[in-house]
Amino acid sequence: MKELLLLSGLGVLALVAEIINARKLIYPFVIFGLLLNIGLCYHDLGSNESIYGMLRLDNAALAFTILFSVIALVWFIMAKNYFSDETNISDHFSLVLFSLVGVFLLSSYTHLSMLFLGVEILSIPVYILAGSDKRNVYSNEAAFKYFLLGAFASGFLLLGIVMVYGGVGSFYITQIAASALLPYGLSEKLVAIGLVLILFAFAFKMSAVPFHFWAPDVYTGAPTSITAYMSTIVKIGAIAGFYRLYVGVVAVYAQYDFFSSYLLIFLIIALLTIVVGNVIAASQSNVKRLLAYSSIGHAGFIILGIAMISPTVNFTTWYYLLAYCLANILTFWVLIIVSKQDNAEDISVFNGLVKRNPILAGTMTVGLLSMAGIPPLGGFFAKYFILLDVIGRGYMMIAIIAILASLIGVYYYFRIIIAMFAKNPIQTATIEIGSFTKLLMILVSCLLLAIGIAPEYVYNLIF
Amino acid sequence: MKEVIIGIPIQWYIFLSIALFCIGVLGVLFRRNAIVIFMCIELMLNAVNLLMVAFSRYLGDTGGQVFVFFVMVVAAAEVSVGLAILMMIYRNTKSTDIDTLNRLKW
Repeated sequence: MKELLLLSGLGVLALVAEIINARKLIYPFVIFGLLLNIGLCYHDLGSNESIYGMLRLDNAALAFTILFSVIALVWFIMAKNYFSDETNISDHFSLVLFSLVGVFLLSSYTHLSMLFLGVEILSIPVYILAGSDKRNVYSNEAAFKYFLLGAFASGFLLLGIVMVYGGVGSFYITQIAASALLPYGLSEKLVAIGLVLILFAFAFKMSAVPFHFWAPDVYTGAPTSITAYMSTIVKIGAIAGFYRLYVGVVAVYAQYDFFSSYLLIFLIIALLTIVVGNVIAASQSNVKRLLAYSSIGHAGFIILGIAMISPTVNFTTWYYLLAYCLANILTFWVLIIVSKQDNAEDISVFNGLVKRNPILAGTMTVGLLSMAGIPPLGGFFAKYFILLDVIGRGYMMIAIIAILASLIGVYYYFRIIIAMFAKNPIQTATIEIGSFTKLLMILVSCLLLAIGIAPEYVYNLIF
Repeated sequence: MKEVIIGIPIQWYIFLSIALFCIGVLGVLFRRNAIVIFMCIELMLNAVNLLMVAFSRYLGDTGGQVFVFFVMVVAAAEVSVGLAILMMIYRNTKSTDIDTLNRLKW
């Protein structure tokens, strides 16, 4: 309950700060609030608090809350310029904070109404943020596409929820799971269709193939800071919600004949997502669009991990998200600085970056290597744990295809790295960054390295 | 009148709602005017509301009827944001035709 109140309170505070003319105070308050939130969650681990039967703060929920608070903290530090450029800062702050409330609801719901509210509270502010560059037609188009397809998907989500409700007679996750045992006639079909519709709506939110078409367009059109937000925090929200539903309900239903094809559906979706995301990313020249497609590929890996329903699925999902989000934020951080300097987002803007600013080039390399899955960075162990589960369940072919697809990933990540180190810069002017930014970049890079060197320490810390 | 409404089997409500929902989906897919598309999305959500109330009555559980209020509030919030985005686009392109929004590709 405290975490929910804290996050919502921060959002309201950001709005009030506009009225009482205290805009300068918002930023430190938000940073402090997020740190406090991490502390509160860490303190509550194991308490299993239930909030009016609607939300349950079990360890999985708290682990996801810690995860998105950490990533939000890094994001706020990264996006400081985004907030200083804008005229109406407090609106942007409160929109971001309210969407964090949505992520919180998604990672802890036990009632389908909270699932629906979580998805909407997460999405609606992001529709606005995607269009926050008001005079830019690309940003407008991104916001409109995201809104239209998001609203369309939430229609299907609702239809799925109502069908499950009609079949089971309850919105509670536990009761839905319990009724898997009961024999039904019409209602069995209703539940089957309903669950598929809900899961497809989630596949849309996670940008899984074949529901990924919105992602590259929206990620390219939105302001780069918001793209970083969408490809990390929004993804955490969607995956946390999917995780809860899949492990809590679908895994129970999948044990019965009538529903046994669910696992197969999600294995196919996960494989398609990994392959399509990585293959199309290899042919991109715009770095933002390349990162968008690569984030689709990473979502596929996470879905693959969740679909395995192994005993450690909570940790593998969490760890993959942590490694992926940190690396993604690092790459977007460098991209924002470099593309602002040169006013372009092609791979060629990275040409000879090491001569223009070695710290930026080093940070970008760490982020890209982690996403490519090179040891000893976090991304390697994230992929390793998931593939270990996949092989453990006996799906050798799937593991081989996933590894081959991520080798394509190595190719396009190295295209950027080679451009940075081997090519001559188009513009020779050095890029100046503040010493504080420099320090934070090195710190986040070290964090990424640290979670790769000692994954068992991260495991003991949270789980 | 009350007997007539209670006498309608639940299947009819399901068919009606699914039909309305499909009209909404087809509208979103085939209409080119953004305002009409918004109306079709509302139609989808309200078809679900109808089904929710019908199930709620059929199962004797009030949860579904309460859920409808959540859906109504969220639908209102969603459309207000959508119209704001549309206003922004109209200022830049002077059109509400979604075929003009084709700058972002591949």
